Amino acid sequence: MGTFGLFLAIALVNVAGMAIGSFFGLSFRERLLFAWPIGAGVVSLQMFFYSLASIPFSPAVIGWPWIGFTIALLAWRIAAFFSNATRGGAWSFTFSTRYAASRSVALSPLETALVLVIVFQVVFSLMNLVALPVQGYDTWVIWFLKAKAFFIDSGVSAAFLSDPVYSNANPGAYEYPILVPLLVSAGYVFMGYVDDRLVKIFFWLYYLNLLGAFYYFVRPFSTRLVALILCAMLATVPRIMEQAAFGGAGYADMPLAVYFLAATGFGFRFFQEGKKNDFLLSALFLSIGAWTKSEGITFLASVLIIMSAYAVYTRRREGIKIVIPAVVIAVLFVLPWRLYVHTLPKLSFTMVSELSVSTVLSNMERLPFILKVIVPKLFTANKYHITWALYAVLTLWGFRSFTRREYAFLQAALWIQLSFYIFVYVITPFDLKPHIETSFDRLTIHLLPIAFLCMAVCWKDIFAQGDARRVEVLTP
Amino acid sequence: MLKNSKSVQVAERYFIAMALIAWIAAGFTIFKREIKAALELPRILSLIPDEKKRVIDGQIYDFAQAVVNNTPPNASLIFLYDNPNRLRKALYYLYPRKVEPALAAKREEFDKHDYLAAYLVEGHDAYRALGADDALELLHEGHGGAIFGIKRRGR
Repeated sequence: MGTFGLFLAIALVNVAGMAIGSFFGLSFRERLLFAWPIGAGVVSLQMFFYSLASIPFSPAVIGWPWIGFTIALLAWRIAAFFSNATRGGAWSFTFSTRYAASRSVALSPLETALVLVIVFQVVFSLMNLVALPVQGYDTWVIWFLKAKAFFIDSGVSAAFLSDPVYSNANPGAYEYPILVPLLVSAGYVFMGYVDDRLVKIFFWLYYLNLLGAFYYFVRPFSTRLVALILCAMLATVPRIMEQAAFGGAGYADMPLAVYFLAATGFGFRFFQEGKKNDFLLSALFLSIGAWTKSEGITFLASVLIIMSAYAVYTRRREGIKIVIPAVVIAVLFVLPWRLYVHTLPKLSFTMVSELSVSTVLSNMERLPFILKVIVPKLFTANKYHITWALYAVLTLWGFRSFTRREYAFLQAALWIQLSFYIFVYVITPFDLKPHIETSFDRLTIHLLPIAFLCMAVCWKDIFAQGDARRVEVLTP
Repeated sequence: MLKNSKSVQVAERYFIAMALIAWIAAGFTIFKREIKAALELPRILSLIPDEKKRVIDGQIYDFAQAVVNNTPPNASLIFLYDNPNRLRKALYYLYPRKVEPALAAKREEFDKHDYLAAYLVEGHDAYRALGADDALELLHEGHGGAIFGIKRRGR
């Protein structure tokens, strides 16, 4: 089907994402905004289950269940609407939004300039991504090689994953979660052939979603100017652009950043407003993150524990009723792959193969060296421009914000995850400096959006923006 | 909306100005890189797919395609290499062929495989030596490498 098939795949993933999003109380626009990351998670999981059941991949087998599901969902909603109307009740078919409509205000010259920067970044990202095939080492030894293998084999095969030549180029790579390879493979299935250039549009969609989701979370409490400033800064971070437009495209770090952002954004909302759907949405994105990269597993564990502890502590039995479905969602995304990997032969040691109390204690002396290497990196302009410097200034200046639980939650999520990354360097069996040099910059991509969220909160508190005007998030 | 005091508004304006100036200054490298890449785009977009692959992968792409064209998908082959990155690039194109990477050609391994592909830096002499081996039949030499069929005993 070629390029048409690729767009069909994109449409299908979005349809799946919107269908699942409808169960979480999202408005139509919110479902559209989060359709891609949700759809990528559920479609790739569907494909993995097909592999377990030995059902070969094909466009029909992947697509028809979602089309049928969406039709059934629409039919049910229409039936519910008419049933409620004939009973003389109020309309139940409402598009709820978090934002009250408001008279839109024209963009100022500075806001216009910021919007143009964001638009340029988005357009440049798209054009540069699809100009050339994949370039990054990890894409052609891990992510896209797996995608190609899954496409050729028409499923996830133990034979491929057990092959030490193909599957384990980087030690432990055969165990990595496989959302990205399956998603790319879906693109190949719909196209009918391998085209590692055009399929990179999937990563452009993640980049688009990163910026859209960030603005969505920040706008309710920030002025439009501040939201645009931070969004433009996020859009131009060199480390992010490396994966959004240059040779790093195809790595799983930017997709993971989107899931981390959405998880903490909805978690922030939960701490603010206490709504069950926000908790569940956070759990959903945490779970899909754990299905994207191994780093997502530690993030899922730490953030879900924090949120669950808060829910149970403040609501007791009602809190447990919120936590249980969240745990079910997490189990659904994490357990199948972990059990499957457990059945594969061990091909190599991994970064955490030497995890033991004695290793941790004896390697703690590495900590000063690790910090000496990573801290200067954070303040390197051609990697992060002013991101971490601005984060440090705003965090220190706005230290009073820590009294707000939703802000403390964001900072805790960021620092706990960063601590896990540093912990891996403490226990790694690999040469330390090369390991840091080849991985740290990518790991920070996951945390950048959370840092920007923290900055937005501090900014608002420092300059006493108060309760920002609540306007339609997608209108100026 | 709560009303901000004038001094806070002025402070915020100064803060925004400083942040924007610092951002533009610090982001100069990425802006420059993007402009340079954007100017290259028309040339890159005008390339045909194979040419785009060569821009990224170099000669190993052409050699890998030669292996793909000279061996069936279910082939089993020894891959002689001296550069691990080039091996990894070749592997990306060779799947689903069964590949055994090797740093040296061992005759006792020949019976297990159908083909031998060699991609060596300055490998011309090595390819000639391999070609002189009566267990191997030269199928292709070019793009920096050579491909041999392995003759089975009794054939």
